Formats: sequence, structure tokens, C-alpha cells
Amino acid sequence: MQICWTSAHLPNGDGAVFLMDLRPEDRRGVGLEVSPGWPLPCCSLQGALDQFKAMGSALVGADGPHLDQLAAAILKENKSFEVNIHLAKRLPLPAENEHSRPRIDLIVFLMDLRNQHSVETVKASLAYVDVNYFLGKVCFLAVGGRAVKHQSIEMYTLKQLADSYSSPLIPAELESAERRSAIAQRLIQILKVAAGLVPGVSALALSSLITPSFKTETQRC
Amino acid sequence: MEHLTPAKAGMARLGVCFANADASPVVLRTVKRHTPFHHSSARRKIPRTNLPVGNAEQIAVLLQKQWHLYHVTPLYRFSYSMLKKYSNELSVFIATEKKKGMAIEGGIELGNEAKFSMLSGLRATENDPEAVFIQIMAKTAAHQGVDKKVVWSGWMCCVDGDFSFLESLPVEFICLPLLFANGPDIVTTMVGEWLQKTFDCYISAFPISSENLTWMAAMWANCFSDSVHRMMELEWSVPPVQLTISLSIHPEDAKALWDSIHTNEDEITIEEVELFMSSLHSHFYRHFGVRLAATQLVHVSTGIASAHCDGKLMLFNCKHIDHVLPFLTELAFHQIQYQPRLCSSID
Repeated sequence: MQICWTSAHLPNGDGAVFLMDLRPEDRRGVGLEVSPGWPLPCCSLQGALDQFKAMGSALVGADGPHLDQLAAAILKENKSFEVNIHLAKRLPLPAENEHSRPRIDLIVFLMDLRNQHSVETVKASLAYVDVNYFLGKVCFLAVGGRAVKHQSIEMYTLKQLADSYSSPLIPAELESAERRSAIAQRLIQILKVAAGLVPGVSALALSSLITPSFKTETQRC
Repeated sequence: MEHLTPAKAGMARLGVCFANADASPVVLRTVKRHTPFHHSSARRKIPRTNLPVGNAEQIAVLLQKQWHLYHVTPLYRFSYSMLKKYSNELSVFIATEKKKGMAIEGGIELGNEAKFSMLSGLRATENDPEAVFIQIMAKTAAHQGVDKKVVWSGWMCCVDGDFSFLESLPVEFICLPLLFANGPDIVTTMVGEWLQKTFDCYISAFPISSENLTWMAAMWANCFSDSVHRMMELEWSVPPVQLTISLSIHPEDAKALWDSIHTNEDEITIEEVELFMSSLHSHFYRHFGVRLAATQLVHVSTGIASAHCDGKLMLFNCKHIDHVLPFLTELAFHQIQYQPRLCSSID
């Protein structure tokens, strides 16, 4: 009987120690991959463990048709792997379903420039997010930046918020179907990286690549 | 040719000469402005200078009318001494447009005589150009004689403009960024076309964002006076359900609320404005259960002026014009400098 144990840094940030008990009769061909060259050891366990093949993402934002349409667009886009989308108006998520909820790999906060209430909801929800998520697993989406007429918030304020949480801010327009599918594709790419399915790229590396180098400070120009 | 360095002299021999153009230092300053997501100022000064009301009757023409606002980029070679010539040219232009039959609509009189005049007194500092007033009149033959009826009127002004920007403009340009128009839209389009052709400018629509409307509400609540008796009216729109919510506040209550928030005599900060609006929102929520923070403010009306998000403005009070115009000028400059994305043009 062989006992092999390894500690895996799971993509959702929890360090876990696995005690794997490989008996010859139920050997499952579990392999271990260590991606070379990245400071954050990104070990992914391949195998017949289905739960590591499905990714989950949570879309948090205010009411409106935007959330549902965006979720529908994401589900339509994705082809090769299973994506679970959880829509929420605010965090924290209700505690009853805690044990049956699939793992969340990416949190997307949707803010509408025309709707001050959505920004306040998102700010209140940010307090309930575990700190490890801010290493590239949180993304902000700013909707409604095109028409000047109805804007109550400035894009500058949202950029400041995103910078203070070191997460990317993506301006988006969700009015037409093509724009929605473009944003959905982008989010799926980020989700794939955040779930650890892209070998060699970690979520933190990707978020530092997406976030442009200018910050919202006046001396940088 | 003494200022040519040896390298340049060599190039000059080859027929190329790079003259040392006068690179003004302000050019470098403008590079700094093109950062994305510009932040509008967090505090704004309450204007203390009262505009000279020497010609109160001229300014009285501006009151009580619904003006449609437009942006104008700086005008090239506009001269105040040639106003008569501009009047004649515009009259001719309108007459030719009428002949072309482009603007024939039932019942709208187009007028056939234009008059340009200077509207002195609408400037805050010496650097502002004088305001210009344009009127288009139609001659109606009454039995006593020929009567002139004003069909369209408009004015352009610049009040307390951004000094560094005005300074950086070349000499031939005059900046009058605000155009107010009252009258049929077709005439506005024609006047706009003539202005764009003659002075090489660009006229575009001026939508006012909800955030700026909240600034206006706070600024106008600030200068309440005893002679003002209009209720303060705010209107919100909720697009998904086609609903408009309007709220009327007694001016004394608005002033009392504002006074409890406002501390500094000289300026208004964005925190004060936000607190003012959020107290109105929470009051509304407590009484009616509607969350106004999720809607958009579209119309603000007080005893001093009224503004709509589509760019419509009405002025009611001659004394308080200096609280309205500098803010609009600042918004216009902001549009010219930081957001040159072209709004829908006038035609």
C-alpha cells in the first residue's frame, strides 16, 4: 500500500493538504503538474475528479436586465467546459446553500454609471469578499458609459475603486447582442485563467497584464 | 540664417530648412490633459462678482425663455467691428436657403433679416470675450406699416472661462463656447451651418449629465433670496418603466437643508452636494419607498433657473445670472478640452 501525500495550492486560494491513498485496486491515474517559471506554484491536478473541470463564477450587481442577459450570453458562448454562473444582487450569499454551492472562481461586479445605487451596493458587497480573491479573481464591469445625459457617477470614481482593490475595470456596453457576446468571451477567458485551466498563466499574472499601468493619480500623465 | 546650427545648415543646403517655430510652453501643458477618465473638480467657487447690470433691459431679453444649449468650438477670425457685415451675410444666407426650398414646412416663418449685436456686461473678467446676440426677424406687413417680429434669437457667451486655455489660444481665435438658441429648429440649423462655414467652428449638442444637474440643484439652492417665490422642482426618470417622478420642495425648506450642510462661505464641495442629494433620496425613500438613487435626475427647476438634461435652460432672475453661466462655461470648456468626442452635431 502506498501513501502519497501532496499539498496542492488550489485556485480558489485555500491551501489544502491532501492525503491521497493510492491502493493498487483503485488507482486512478492521478498526475501532478507543476508549471515552471511562475512564482506562484500553480499545481493542477488532472484526473477523473470532475469537480476540478467545472468552473464557477459569480456575477454581482444591481437589478436590471443586464445581469440576466450577460449570463445568458456567457452560457451560450462557452463550449468546452462546464460553467456555473451564480447571479446575486449583493453579497454575502445566503448561508443555507453553502455546502452545495460549487466553487467560485471569478467574481464579476457589475456597476452602472447611470445608477448610483448599484455602485453603493457593490461597495457594500466588497466587504464580504475573502481577501484571496483579490489576487486576480475579481473583476469590475462598468456599464453605461456611452450616453453623457444620464450619468450620475464618473468613470474616474469607478477607476479609483478598481485601483484601490487592484483589480481590472472593464468598460462595457451591454445593449446589443454583439457587444454582450464580446464581453462574454472576454470574461470566459479570464474565468479560464482564474480557474487554473490555462497552464502557465496564473490569475494574478493575468490581472496585472490587463490592468493598464496608469493609475488614477494626477502626477502620472 | 544665423540661428541655424551646423546640422541645420547642412540640411538647408539640401533644400530642407527646419525653421525654429515658436513652440509655446502651453503646448506641452495640453499633453497632460489627455489622460483617460478625467476627474471634474471636487470643489467649485461660489461666484462673488456680480455681473454689471448696467444694461438690465438687454439682459431682460434673455429671461423667461426656453433656451436650447449648444457647444461651440473657438471661432476663427470673428471680429466685433464687422457685426453689420455678418448681419448682411446671414440674411443673404437665409434668403438663399429659403429659395432652395430646403426648409419649407407649413406654418413656420423663417424670417429674412438677421441682426448681430454685442451684449455687453455678460463677462466676469477682462479675459472673457464679449457676448454676442443674434436675432432673426421677419417683416410682417401690417396696415400701419412694416412690423418686425422676432422669429429666432440666440446668443453666445463666455463667462469666467478657463484662463490658461484662453491664453493658449492663438490670436485669431475667439472662444465663445456656449450658444443659446430659441426658435424653430430649422432656423437654428441654418444659423449653425452659417456659423460653422464662416468661422470654421463646430457646433454640437450639449447634454447635461445627472451629476452636473445635482451640482446645479445645490448651487441654486444656495442662492435663495426673498424675492424668489418659485418652488424647487426636481424630476427623475426611470427608463425601464417609462416613469417620471417629480418632487416639489418649498424654497425655504431647501435653503434650510442646504444651510445645515454647507459650511464654507467661498466654495461648494462635492461631499456637500452628495449629502444634499442623499438626504433628499432618503426622505423620499422613507415616505414613498422608492429608491431615487437608482434613477436618473433629468430636470432641475428653481427660482433662479431651470435646466433639463437634454440641454434646455430657462433663466428667471436677472440678479442671479452669475450663478448659472460660469458653471455652464466651465462644463463647456471641460467638453472642449477633455472630451473632444463629437456629440451629435447640430445638423
